[in-house]
Amino acid sequence: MISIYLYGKLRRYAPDSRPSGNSVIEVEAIEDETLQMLLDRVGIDIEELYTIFINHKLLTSRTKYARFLGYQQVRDDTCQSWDLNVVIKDGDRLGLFGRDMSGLVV
Amino acid sequence: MGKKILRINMSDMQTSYEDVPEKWARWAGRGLTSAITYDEVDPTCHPLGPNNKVVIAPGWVTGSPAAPSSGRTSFGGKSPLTGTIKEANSGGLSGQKIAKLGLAAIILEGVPKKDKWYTLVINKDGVEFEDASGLIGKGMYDVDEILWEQYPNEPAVIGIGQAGEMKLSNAGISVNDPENKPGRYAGRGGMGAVMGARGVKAIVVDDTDGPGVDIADADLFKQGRRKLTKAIGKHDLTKKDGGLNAFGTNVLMNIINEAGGLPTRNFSAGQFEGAALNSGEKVAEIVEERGGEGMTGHSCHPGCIIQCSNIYPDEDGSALVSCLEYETAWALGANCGIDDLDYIAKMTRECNDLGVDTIEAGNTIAIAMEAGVLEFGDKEGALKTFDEIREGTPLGRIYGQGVEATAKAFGVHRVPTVKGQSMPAYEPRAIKGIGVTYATTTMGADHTSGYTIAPEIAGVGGKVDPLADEDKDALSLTFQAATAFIDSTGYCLFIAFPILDIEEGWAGMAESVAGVTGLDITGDDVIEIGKEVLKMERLFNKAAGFTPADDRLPEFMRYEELPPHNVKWTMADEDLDEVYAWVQED
Ligand code: SF4
Repeated sequence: MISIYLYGKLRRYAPDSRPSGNSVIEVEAIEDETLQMLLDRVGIDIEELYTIFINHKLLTSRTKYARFLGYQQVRDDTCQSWDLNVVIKDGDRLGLFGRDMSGLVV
Repeated sequence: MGKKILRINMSDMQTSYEDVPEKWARWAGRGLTSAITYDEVDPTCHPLGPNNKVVIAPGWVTGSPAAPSSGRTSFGGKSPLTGTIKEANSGGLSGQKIAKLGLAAIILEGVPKKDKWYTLVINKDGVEFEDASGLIGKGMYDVDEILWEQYPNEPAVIGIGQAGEMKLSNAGISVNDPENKPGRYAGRGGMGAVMGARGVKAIVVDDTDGPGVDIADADLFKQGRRKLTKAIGKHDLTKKDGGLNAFGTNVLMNIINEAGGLPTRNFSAGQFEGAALNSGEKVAEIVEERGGEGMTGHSCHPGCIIQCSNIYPDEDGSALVSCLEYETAWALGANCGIDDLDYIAKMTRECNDLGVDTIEAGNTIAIAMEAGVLEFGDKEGALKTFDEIREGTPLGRIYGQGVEATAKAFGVHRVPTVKGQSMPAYEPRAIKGIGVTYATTTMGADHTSGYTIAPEIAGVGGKVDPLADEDKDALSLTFQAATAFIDSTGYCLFIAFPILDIEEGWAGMAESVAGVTGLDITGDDVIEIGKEVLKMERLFNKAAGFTPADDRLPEFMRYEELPPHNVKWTMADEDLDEVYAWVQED
């Protein structure tokens, strides 16, 4: 099973979308399925995403905080080409934050 | 007319308006409070004794027409909590009014001969020393209300609650917000006790018919303001209906929790199962449901275009407290194992009324819980700790001294402090960049002095954390310097997000400062100017007896693994020492 935790406006994709609880989509894992394929399967629009966590670690974010001061960037490429080819395995947990919850500055 | 420094001596009740000396002419805000403290306060003095001062300074652009989100006031001096130099800044009404009276700074010094309390009333005609005995023993909600009834023109009220009267090390300085509520605090480091030690309960500032703020180069100012406003309006976090506007700073609760960096139950875990119940999303839902006076998108002072503040409503819709911030909801929530926003709001109101810093207060309650005085999650018990402080019981006075004193009183060794000040809402074992800032800043553990929030990065696809430990020190210094500059401008630190993302905004900030002051400052100078402020602060601390051995995180973080990432603090001491190795006496 893969658990997708949703926050902010993204919660509407989950069966229980109240902010006070966990809004989670649970799906069976499919072998060799990438994040991109998984998001397509559950119907989440990538355009809406701002920050993605996998197993509580930051996978990617649209932010470009302080590039000109040498701040750590999550990915060298920009958010136009996210690395969504990561294979998502059984037991993984995803945490997805939408553009309305753009709080993280990495 | 050039700006003046207003010196108020409480020993002889004399005031003087002095020209700003050359050596301070280029400073404002934090730069000025630190320069004056560095020059005039003996670093070895007792913070509550006659030789400490409270220096109050608006920023460079504060009070200038329509500079966005620029109403901050800096409060500086030597901290009774840390023994270091301190600058704590606040929103609220004071900055713009002090600036519009033509004042670069107010220096409050000396100690009254008689055991008497005063309200200082400052307006265009000068300073009056009013008897404050009627306000003694009162909390800030009453004080603000009484002083607005007593004085015309809806003045700024800078004041201390009972904690400041008792000179407790966790006493903050309150500034009223546009609704005349005491929700805005120069909270950290106990500057309220330093003000209390001068015998001053409140300062009323009325800027009616004041000279206003001169603009040296209006075109340059307007150009800078335009760029800055555009960046703020464009960035996802600060734009209208963006993260801060919709959810306040508490937008971070679910994010930092997901990242495993939310300090929980006195820094024993990095995730709290009740985080969602305390989150900004939940606050927004409650505001929507209860209606009435509750609101998100509130401004803490006139002219803020980000509007991250909120008014948290009681069940009947009446205003319970403003503002429920991320730090507050974390300190009194996750860190105490409490997942009830109504209680967190009530405790926040107590903090605002008594005049204590919410971060230190929450951490102190967590220590009491760790010690078994209370159970983790005991919200009733947590709320009652504030009665102890209000009544000045021996236990209340211990709590009011903050985390270290409470930990000593109860024999607790998991003590999340640096230089005597407790950590805010980012676990440094999971978010290592902020750990460097906590360890090395001149202020004691403080997130605002170098906001390097980089959580664990997923090392998938062969990619690993791109930032080695050694690089984090240089980065932290750059951010501490940028922050020292922004804290001097009068702009709210939250403009950092758009201007660090959108380079034009960065230039715009510097140009607006240059436009108001006539100083030759561009975006390229920001870091160097910030470093000059840091240098003064660092040298003050050195003279006060601090050494690199004080730039360390607490020991338990080196041997206790933090779930869910199961990480310890591993940064080498030598790397931490690099951060300030460049500071030498001239
Ligand atoms: S962004 Fe928030 S804290 Fe900053 S000035 Fe505006 S309301 Fe105050």
